[in-house]
Amino acid sequence: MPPSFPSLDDLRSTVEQTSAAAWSAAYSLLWEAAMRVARCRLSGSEHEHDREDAVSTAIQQVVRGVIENSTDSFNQIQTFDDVLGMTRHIVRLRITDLLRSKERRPEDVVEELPELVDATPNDLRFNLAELLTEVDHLQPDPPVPQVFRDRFVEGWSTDEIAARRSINRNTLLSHFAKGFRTLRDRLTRLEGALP
Amino acid sequence: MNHDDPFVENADLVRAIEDAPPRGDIAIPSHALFVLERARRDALQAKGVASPVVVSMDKPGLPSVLSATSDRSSYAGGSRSNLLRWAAILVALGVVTWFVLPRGTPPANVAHTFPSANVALTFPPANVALTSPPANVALTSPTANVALTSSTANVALTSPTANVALTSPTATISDTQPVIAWTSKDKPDQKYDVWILPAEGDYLKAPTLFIAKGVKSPVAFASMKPGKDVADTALKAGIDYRVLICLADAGRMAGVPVSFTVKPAPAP
Repeated sequence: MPPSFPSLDDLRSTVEQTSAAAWSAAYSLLWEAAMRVARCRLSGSEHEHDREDAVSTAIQQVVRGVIENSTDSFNQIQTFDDVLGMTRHIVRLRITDLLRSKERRPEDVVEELPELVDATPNDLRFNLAELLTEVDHLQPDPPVPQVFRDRFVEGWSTDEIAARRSINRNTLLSHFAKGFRTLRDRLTRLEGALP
Repeated sequence: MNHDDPFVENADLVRAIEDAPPRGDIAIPSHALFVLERARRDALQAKGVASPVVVSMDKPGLPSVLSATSDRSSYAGGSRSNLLRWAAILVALGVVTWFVLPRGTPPANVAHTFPSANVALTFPPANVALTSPPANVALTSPTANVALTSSTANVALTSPTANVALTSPTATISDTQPVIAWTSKDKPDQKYDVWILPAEGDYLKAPTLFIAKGVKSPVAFASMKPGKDVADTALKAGIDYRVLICLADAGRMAGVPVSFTVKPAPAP
């Protein structure tokens, strides 16, 4: 059962009690959304503090922006989904800034991902729970579901996964490539089955 | 771009994982939760809503890094210590008001910039050194020393001051080359001077560690120039610093320093 999102009116409320309650509910959702981006783009245990800093700073900016509502970007926010999108966008920018200042291995520099022009529409968005279920079904390579979870849920880097699971790095990259291919096929079939 | 990289080749799937709707089942560290709550209160205050900032008595200079529950009880004023704190604040405010209120024809600038109710709520008791106030509070309120004893009170009260809220670095960071970023309510084309200063000493006279002049947010650390006799190219872990953002070419008086700490490097 997905959690209900707080209303934008409550988040922008100037009544302390209403504001506090709405943001209390929002923090955990924003934190998870931002942290997922951070774990995807800045993987590796050694970056745990960097991820936390980036996420915390991004959400602070969003909190101020939503409440003060004084810039064009934040004026355009209409729903909590927009707030989530803005949070993800800011944390991506912050991580890109961070990555630019550090030399990293190519496979971990997800800043090179091409930016999608438009955000994914809600009805086409993958549900992570469904996606991970599909990952668990990835066959015939037993480590594939685990390495996907290691990377995208736990935030481990490619090198960390290779070391912790005693898999050759290139073999691991092959697992990822094969896993993505299988995942794409399965999701395409699922979408094709929809009315 | 590396075309053998499965993550780059499957960027849309990676992006889909990033954008999956949250379920709220990742715990937020308590220190982060407090920082977020402080940002919320600052934003409410910036909108003119009286939302008291709780000042920790056990760690002067920083707002209380306690759980949200204790903060809520603080501003409900439910405990006796809070009542005493508020009483002390009111008494201090009364004394300040008595000294500051003009006896004859007041200079227009003093009357114009006299602290508002919000300032009174955030005014620290005499025994609390508020060295790291939220930017919007500090930027509009004179300190007790200025109001009571400084002959330059008019200068401090009427000098143009950067109306900015620092967003990076936060109170504690691990990056030794942090991006300096802020949100501003000044005119859109306003440029700023940014200093990184030692944590101790008068910020008007403290030696410059790093400086960037005539810039806009965000400022990459690499673009900052080291101060005179500074050979470092980055901040040092485990050290406290202050960042000062002022209107360009207006000197250090046109801003308020904000303290931050660079975390010590983890043990190998």
